[in-house]
Amino acid sequence: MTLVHFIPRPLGIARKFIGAIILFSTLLTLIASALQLYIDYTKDVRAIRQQLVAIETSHLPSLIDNLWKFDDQGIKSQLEGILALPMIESLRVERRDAADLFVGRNKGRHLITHTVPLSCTHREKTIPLGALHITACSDGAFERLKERGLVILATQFVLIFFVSAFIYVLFYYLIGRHLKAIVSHTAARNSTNLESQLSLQRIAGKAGEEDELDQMVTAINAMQSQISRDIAERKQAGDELKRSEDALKRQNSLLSSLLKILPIGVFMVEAPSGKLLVANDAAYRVLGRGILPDVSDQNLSEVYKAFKMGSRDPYPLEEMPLLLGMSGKTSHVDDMEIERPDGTKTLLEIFGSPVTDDQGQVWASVVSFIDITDRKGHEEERLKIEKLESLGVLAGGIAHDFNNILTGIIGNISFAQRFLDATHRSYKPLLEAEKASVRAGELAHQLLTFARGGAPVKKVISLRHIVSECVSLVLHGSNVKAATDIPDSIDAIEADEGQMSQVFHNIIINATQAMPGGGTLTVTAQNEMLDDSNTLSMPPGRYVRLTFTDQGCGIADNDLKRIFDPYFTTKLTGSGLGLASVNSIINRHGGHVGVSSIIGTGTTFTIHLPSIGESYSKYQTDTAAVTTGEHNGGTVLVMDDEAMIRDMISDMLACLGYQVTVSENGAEAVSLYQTALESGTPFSVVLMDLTIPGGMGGKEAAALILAIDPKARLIVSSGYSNDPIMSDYRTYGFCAAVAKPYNMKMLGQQLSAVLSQP
Amino acid sequence: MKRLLPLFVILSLVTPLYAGQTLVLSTADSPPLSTQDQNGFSDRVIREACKRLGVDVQIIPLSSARSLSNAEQSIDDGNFLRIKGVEKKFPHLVRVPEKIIDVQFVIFSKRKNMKTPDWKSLEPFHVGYVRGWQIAEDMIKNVRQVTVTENRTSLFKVLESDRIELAFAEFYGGYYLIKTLGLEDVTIAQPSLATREMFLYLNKKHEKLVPRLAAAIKEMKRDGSYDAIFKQTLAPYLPTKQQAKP
Repeated sequence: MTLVHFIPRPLGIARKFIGAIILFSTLLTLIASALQLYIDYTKDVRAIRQQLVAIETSHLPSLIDNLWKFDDQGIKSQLEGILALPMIESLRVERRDAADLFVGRNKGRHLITHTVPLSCTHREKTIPLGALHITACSDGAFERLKERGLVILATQFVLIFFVSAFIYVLFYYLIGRHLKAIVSHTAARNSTNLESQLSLQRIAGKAGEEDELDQMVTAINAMQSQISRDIAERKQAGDELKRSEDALKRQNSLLSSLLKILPIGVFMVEAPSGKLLVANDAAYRVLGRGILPDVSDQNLSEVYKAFKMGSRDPYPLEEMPLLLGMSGKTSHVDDMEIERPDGTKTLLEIFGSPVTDDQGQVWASVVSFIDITDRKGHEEERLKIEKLESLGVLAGGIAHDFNNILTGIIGNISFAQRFLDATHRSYKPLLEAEKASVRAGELAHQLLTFARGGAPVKKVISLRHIVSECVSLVLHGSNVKAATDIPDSIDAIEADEGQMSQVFHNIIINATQAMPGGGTLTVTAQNEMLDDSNTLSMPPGRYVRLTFTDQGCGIADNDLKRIFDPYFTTKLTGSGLGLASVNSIINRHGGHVGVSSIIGTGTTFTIHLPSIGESYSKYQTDTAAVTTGEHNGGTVLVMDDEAMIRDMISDMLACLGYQVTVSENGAEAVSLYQTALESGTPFSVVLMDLTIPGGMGGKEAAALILAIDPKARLIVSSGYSNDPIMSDYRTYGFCAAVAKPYNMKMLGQQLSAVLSQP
Repeated sequence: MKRLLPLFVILSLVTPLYAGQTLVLSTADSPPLSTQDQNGFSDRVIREACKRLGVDVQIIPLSSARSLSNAEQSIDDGNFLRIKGVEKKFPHLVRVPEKIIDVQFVIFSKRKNMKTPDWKSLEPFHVGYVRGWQIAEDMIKNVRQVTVTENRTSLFKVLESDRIELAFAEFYGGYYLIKTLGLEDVTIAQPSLATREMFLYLNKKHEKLVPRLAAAIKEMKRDGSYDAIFKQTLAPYLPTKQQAKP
């Protein structure tokens, strides 16, 4: 039976309180009762002792006398007299010179034995006779103690019971029911109903006189309010934390993704332990080997086979960015060459940096590195190209001036021929001079092509003529024989003659180099119609298909895939730009170049180029028909900075029946054109030089004239025959373009053609 | 004279050894054998014998058992008068072989001419004796009734008052009480029931004194001093015809 049987569990405090009171009261009762009983017992024992002392004083002399006289009867009488006293259980006389005497029997459980020595004075000496052992029984005292203890305990327990019951009722009324209400209230609270305040069914104390319960209610209500505020703040903080975590996750994901996709190798080691923390895929890829899990005590130069660029000297450890970063230094090197396990070498550019904590202590070192082998090559090539461009600019300038000069020469020769009979002695030398000048013009054109590159300056050309010329030129003096099969019916193409020459030139050179022991280069051409389903992914239409087949050593499959890549070469002295230029030029002309090869048999380059749909001979006939209809007469405004050219053109056009007005620059030409237009006699055509040093050129002047008169007929002329404006003159508002140098016939045909246009 | 010479020689040789010594002898005997003033028969015989050896004697009265116990434990130097055989129970005691006196155990009664040929003759009677007398406790059995008194005087008063018929007592002591108490009706029955030779016992530490003391007592008996003491101490209490010899 415990208190739980009487007091319900919810009133746990009351139960514990009552339990403690009962326990404490019982303990006190037991202690007090024990003390009281002990005192009583001590009194009883003292009474027994006093009785024993009394026996000693009252009975002992006669007992000793009887003992002295060996009067056993007397001794027994004495002992029986003592035995009759209360609490005496037994007596024993121990005698030195006779047998012991006993009286009585020990029946009690609690015995007290008292021994009295017995002696007698005889002849002034003390003679020991023995001892008297008196055994008293304290059972009576114990019985009395037991009865007294039971009475005390019974009364005390009854008292405790009633007092406890009273305290319980009092406790429940004053505290327990309110605690229960507080428990119910607090148990019902959650984050949504913290606004509901606690109140107890009791008379609240006046202000300043609140008791503990009032203070508790106030405290709980205050705590609820505080918790409500805290929850709101925590929720807000939680939301912010969630957002921060999400942002952090995104950032980590971003960083991981970045690290993963970065083409730059990155790895980070812990300082000073050297333990690897992070390494991305690019690091493995660039180095071509695994990253050391621990770089401490490792000779990084040996492990990664790092050398100074261009040498076999191990890269100095004191310049290693990773190690410099561990010592707190940032670094940047671009001269470390790594030899991969497969033997290939890689030039690295490395950025090293220490990673510090808030106190500025270095805790890691990070390096990023990239393979700059190609970039270095590109830089070198760019330097080469820049040099070539400089040379090209120079060559272009020379070609431009050269064309202007040639224009003067050719123009004047053709003008002079006009006044001579073919039988005249000067006619043939003039004709040869003109041919030489034309060839000089072609050389200038090649110079310009070399110098400018870029968009092809297209014109209708004969493939048969160009291919034959290139084959003849390249194979001249070599042990390679040409087998050319290009029918007359082959379609003409619209292309930059110079660039096409470069294409064929490069392919034929490669073929001769593939056949160092000699052989046959077979060149074929045929017209081909491609439909929508062609495997070359070319727009449908008419094409010319050219093939160059050698009998060389052939090209390996791996090399074949990269053969059009810039700077890829299998030759010791090759630049790697030849076939790249071929591919580039053909693509710029809307064509396609392919290659197939069989090791030991030979290689075939196949070129598709859009054709004009008719043969070159037919095209020439048509054009001639158009230009034969001469249209002489009209007013021409000539704009050129060269006085010699202005004079020569004036003479030629006057000869052809035109009225010529000249101007030195674009501004003057615009002014003259506006004046003529305003006067109602606009120029029939304007021939404009494209480049006017220090003045308005043809492009700007054409725009202004067309602004004044959209119907104006404008012809552009330039020594820069491969200028994009020359190849795409209509975009800039010109009706035609005439490249310098030109002769009187060519100029007359262009003027007639322009003036013939509606 | 020639026969006394060796005795004198012995005495003269031994005496110096015990000169000045005092023997403390205890006794439970009553008058007339031993008295408070140490002038009873036994007192005087022993003192005289010791005196002849140059040894002083102090006699102290004690109860019978106590006197034996003290002598055995050497609390006292010796004890008298005791029958033969005591040394068996008390091994530290040595008997002086020359007896002091013969003691007769007899019946006193008011009956005239009472005959007590043996112990059995007591059976028809109410017999009394003093507590502690071993011979009485051993021999007086199957009598009609027994009364044990604490002392001799009580016994004879009980007899005089007819509370008993026969009183078992020692011969000299009985006559001493009859005389001192004036008991004229009390007579002694004949013959005596037992006679015992009574001796002096010394603690063993005085063993060397024993033969000389025996010799001295013997000499007293021979030279008449013993008889003289008898006449002075015992004879006055005895009937006339009994006064000649102890």
